[in-house]
Amino acid sequence: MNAIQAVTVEWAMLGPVLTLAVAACVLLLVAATPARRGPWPFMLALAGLGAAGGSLLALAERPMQLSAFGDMLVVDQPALYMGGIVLLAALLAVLLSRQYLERAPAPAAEYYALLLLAALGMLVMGSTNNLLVIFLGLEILSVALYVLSGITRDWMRSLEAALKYFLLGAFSTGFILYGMAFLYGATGSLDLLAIAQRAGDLLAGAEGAGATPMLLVGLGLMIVGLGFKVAAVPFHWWAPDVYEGSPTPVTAFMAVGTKAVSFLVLLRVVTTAFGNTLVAEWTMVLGVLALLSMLVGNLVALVQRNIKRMLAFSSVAHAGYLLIAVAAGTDLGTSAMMFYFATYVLTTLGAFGVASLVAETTDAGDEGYGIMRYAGLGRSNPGLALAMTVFMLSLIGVPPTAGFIGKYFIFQAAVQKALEGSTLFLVLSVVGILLSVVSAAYYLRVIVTMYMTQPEGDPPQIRTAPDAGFAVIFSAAGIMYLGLFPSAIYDLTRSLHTTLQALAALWLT
Amino acid sequence: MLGMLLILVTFGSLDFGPVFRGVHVLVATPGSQALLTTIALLLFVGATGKSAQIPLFVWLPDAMAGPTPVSALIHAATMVTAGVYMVCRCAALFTAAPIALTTVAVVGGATALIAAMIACTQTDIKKVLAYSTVSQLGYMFLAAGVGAFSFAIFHVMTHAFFKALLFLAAGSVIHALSGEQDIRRMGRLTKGLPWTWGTFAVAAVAIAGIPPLAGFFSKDSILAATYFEQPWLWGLGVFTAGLTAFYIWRLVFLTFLSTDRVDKETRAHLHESPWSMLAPLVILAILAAVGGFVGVPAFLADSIPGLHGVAEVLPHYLEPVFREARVAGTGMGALGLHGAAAAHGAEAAAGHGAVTAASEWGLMGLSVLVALAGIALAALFYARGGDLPARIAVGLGSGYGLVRDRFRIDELYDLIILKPFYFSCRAADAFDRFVVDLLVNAVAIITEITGHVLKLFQTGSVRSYALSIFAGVVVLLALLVLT
Repeated sequence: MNAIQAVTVEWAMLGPVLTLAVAACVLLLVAATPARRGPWPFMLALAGLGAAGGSLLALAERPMQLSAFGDMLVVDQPALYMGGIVLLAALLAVLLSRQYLERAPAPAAEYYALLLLAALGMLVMGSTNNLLVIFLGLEILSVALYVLSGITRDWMRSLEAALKYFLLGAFSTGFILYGMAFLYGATGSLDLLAIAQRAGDLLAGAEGAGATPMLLVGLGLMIVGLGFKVAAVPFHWWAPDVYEGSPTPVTAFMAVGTKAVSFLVLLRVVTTAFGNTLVAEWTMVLGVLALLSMLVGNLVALVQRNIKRMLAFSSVAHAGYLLIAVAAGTDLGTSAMMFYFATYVLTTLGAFGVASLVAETTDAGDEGYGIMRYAGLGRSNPGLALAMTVFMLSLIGVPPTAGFIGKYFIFQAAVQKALEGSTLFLVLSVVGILLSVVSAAYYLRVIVTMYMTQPEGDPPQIRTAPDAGFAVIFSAAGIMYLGLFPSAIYDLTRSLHTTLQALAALWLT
Repeated sequence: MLGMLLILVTFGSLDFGPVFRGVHVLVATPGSQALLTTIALLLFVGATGKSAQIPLFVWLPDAMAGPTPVSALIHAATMVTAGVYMVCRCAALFTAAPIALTTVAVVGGATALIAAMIACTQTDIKKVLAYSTVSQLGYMFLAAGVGAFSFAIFHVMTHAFFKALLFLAAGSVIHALSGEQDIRRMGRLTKGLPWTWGTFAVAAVAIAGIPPLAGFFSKDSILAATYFEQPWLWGLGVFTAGLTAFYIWRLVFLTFLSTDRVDKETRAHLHESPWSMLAPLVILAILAAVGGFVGVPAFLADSIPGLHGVAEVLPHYLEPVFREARVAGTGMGALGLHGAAAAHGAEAAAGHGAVTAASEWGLMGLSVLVALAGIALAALFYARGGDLPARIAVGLGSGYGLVRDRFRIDELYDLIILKPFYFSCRAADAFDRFVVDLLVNAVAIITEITGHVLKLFQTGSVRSYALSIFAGVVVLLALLVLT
C-alpha cells in the first residue's frame, strides 16, 4: 500500500459515470446554441440517462469485479443496485420535468445538465469504499442540487430553498469531513475496509482505551452528516423548506436519489468499517435517530396542509423506518432497506409527479400545492386521482401495494432483533407500527379530499402531457407489480448483504 | 392482540411449537396460573369478537346486508369459525388454564341459548339464520370449553355444510321472490321451488339434530362430552337443541309450507333458480346428509355393522394436535379432562366401559327426542296456524289460542331478551360515544397538538435550524462517548 503503484485504468467500470458526464457536457454546449429552446435538451437528457442505464446493466451482467482504480472505486452489486435506483429516479424526474419547465422560469438545458450531474455524483458516492471518493461524490451531487433547487430564479421560495439548502448543507458537510478526519486520524486510512481492520486491532490492543473516543467521534460525525442528507431528525430542518421551494421534479429526485446513496454509504460505514466493532454504539445511535425521525416526521406531517410539506415530513418519517433497517445490521435489515428503495423511488416520484401536475394549472406557480386543490379531483381527473390513491396507499403501507411489502420487511427485521432480546428494537417496532397508523390519517386525507370533498369552484382540469403521464402510470403500475410479485426484486436484494460481507471477508483474509 | 403480545413476552415466540413447550414448563412453575389464565382469556376475548359470542355478537346479524353468497361464506364456513379454530389450536394454553376453559364453556353455552331464543323471534329469513349461526358457534365454544376440541372442529365442519346450504337456499328463495326477505310474506313454496325446498329441508333436519344427518353426530358428541364434564351446561345445551329444532322448523313451515302469503305479482314471477345456483345446494345437501359419518361415535359404530371402519375418523385425525394439550392438562392435575377423554370411544372403552356406552345411548335418545319435540312444536304453532290466514292477519285481536301463544312467546322474548338487549346496546352505544370516542378523539387531538407544537420549531430561520442541528450533534456525541 505504501509504494506508489501504477493505477490500471478500467474505463468500463466508469461506464455509467462517464456517460452521464458526457451527456451533461453536451447539454451545457447545447445551452449556448438556439437548440436550447426546442425539445433537444429533453431528448438529450433522456438519451444520456438511457445510455447510462444501459452501461449499468452491462456492468451488472459481467462477472463481479469488485474494485477498480486502485480500490478507489468499488463496483459491487449494492452499488449497481442503488445506481439503478438513482438512474430510475432521474429518468422519472426528467419525464416529469418537461411539462413543468413549460411554465417554470428556468433554462431547460442547464436544468437537465445539473440533474445528470447530480445523478453522476450519486453514482460515484455509492460505488466506493474510500472516504475521499465518498466525499467527492457527495460534493458533486450536493452542489448540483443546491443550484437545481434555486433554478427557478424568479420565485422567492425557490431562492430561499436554495440558500437554506446551501447554508445548512455546507454546515453538515463540515461534520462529515470532520468525522472523516477523525477516522483517518485514529486508523491512518481512508479505506473503510482498512479502517475496519485497524479499528479491530486498536480496540483489541492495549491502546484501545485511547483510540475509542476518536473512533466514536469520527463515526458519530459521519452519522450526523449522512443523517443530514437523509433528513433524519434532528438534522431534518432543511427538508420541508427545501422540498417545498424546489421545483417539484427536483424535489422528487433529491428525496429519493440523495437518500438512496446516503443510506448505502451509511450502510457501508456501519457494516463494512464497523461491522465488528462498536456495534452496540452505532445501533443505539441509529435506533434513537430512527425513533425521533418517525415521531417528528409523522406527527408534524399530520398538521400540514401543503402537499409538498406533507410529503417532506413523510419522507422524514420514512427515513426513520429505513434507519431501523440499517440499525438492525442483519441481512434481513439490509435487504429490507434495499427493497424499500425500490418501492420508495416509484412511490415518491409518483406522488411528487401528481403534485407537480395538479399544481401546474395555476399561474401562481407555488400556490398550487394546498390540499384543497385536490377537492373533486376524483371526478374531474379520475386517472390521476386513482394513481395518487395508489401512491398514498403505498406510503401508508396497505396491501397489495409495494409499500406494504417494504414496510413488512423492515418490521420483520426489527421484530427479529426484538425476539433476540433487544429492547430497543421492541420499542422501535411497536412505535413504528403505531406511527404507521397515525400516518394513515394524513395520507388518507388526500384520498378523502380527492373523492369526497366538494370543490369550492369548478374542480381543476389537469392537463397531463404524455411523458409525465407515462411516468405517473409507470410508477403506479410498478407499485402494484412489486406489491403483488415482490420476489422479483427481493431475491436480488437478499444477495446484496452477502456481497458486502464477502467484500469485507475478502479483505480481512 | 394483547394476548399475543403477552405470549410473545412470556415465551419469546409466537410459533405454536415453542409456545406449547413453554406452557409445559410454565405449568410446573408455581404461581404461573394467573398469567396463563390471563393469556387464555385475552385470546378468548379476541375469539368472541371474531366468532360473534356474547357479548360481542351484535355485529353478525347486522353484517347480513351483504349479498347472500357472501353471508354463506362468512357465516358458515370461514370467518366466524376462525375464533373456534384459534381456541382449539391453542388447546394446550387453554387446558393449562382451567378458569379460562370454564369461561369458554359458559360463554359458549349462554350464547347458544340466547341466540337460539332470539332466532325464534326474527322474521327476516337471513336474520334467523344469522342468529342460528351465533347459536351454533356457541355450541362449538361449549365443546372447546369442556375440552372436546376435536368435536368442536367436527361441528365446525358439519355446521359449514348445513349452514352454507341454509344460506344459499335462503338466497335462492329470496331470489325467487324478487328480493323478499320477510318470512311473514312467504309460504307455499314447495311447488314453485322443489329443489330449494328439498335441500333446505335436508339442512333443517341436519341442524335440528335428527340422525343420521351431519348435525346429529357433531351436536350429540358435544352434548355427550358436556354431560360428563359440566352436567348443568348439558341441560342448557339440550334445551337449546330443542329451541334450534323449533326455530329452524318454524322457518321451514313459514317459508315453504303454511299458507300462501306471497304477493300476487311476486307469485307470478316465482321461478326456481338456475342450475348454477342449484348445483351447490345439491352438493351441500349431500354433504350435510353424510358429512357426519366421519365422526360417528365408536360405540355406535360398533353396534352397526359396516360402520366400524369409519368410526371417529375425524377425531382421530385431529387427535395428535390435541394430545399435546391433554398432556399439558394432565400436568396440571387439576380439573381433569377425563370427561373429554371419556367422550372418545377408545378411551371410554378402557375407562368407563359399558356404563358410558349405555349413558351415551340414553343421551342420544334424549337429544333426538328433544329435537323431534322442537320440530313438533314448530309444526303445531305454524303449520296449523298457517291454515288460518285471516286469523293470523288479525292475530292479536282474534285471540286464537295458538296464535296468541306465539305472540306471548314473542313478547316474552321481546321483554326478557330484546329489551335488555337493546338497552345494553344503547348503553354500549353511549359508552362508545362518550367514553371510547372521547378517548379516541383525545388521542387524535393530543397527536395533532403535538404536531402543531413540533411545527412551531420549524421556524424557517436558518440560524435556529443550524443551532438545533448543532445541539443534536452535541447530544449525539455525548451519548456516544460518555456511555
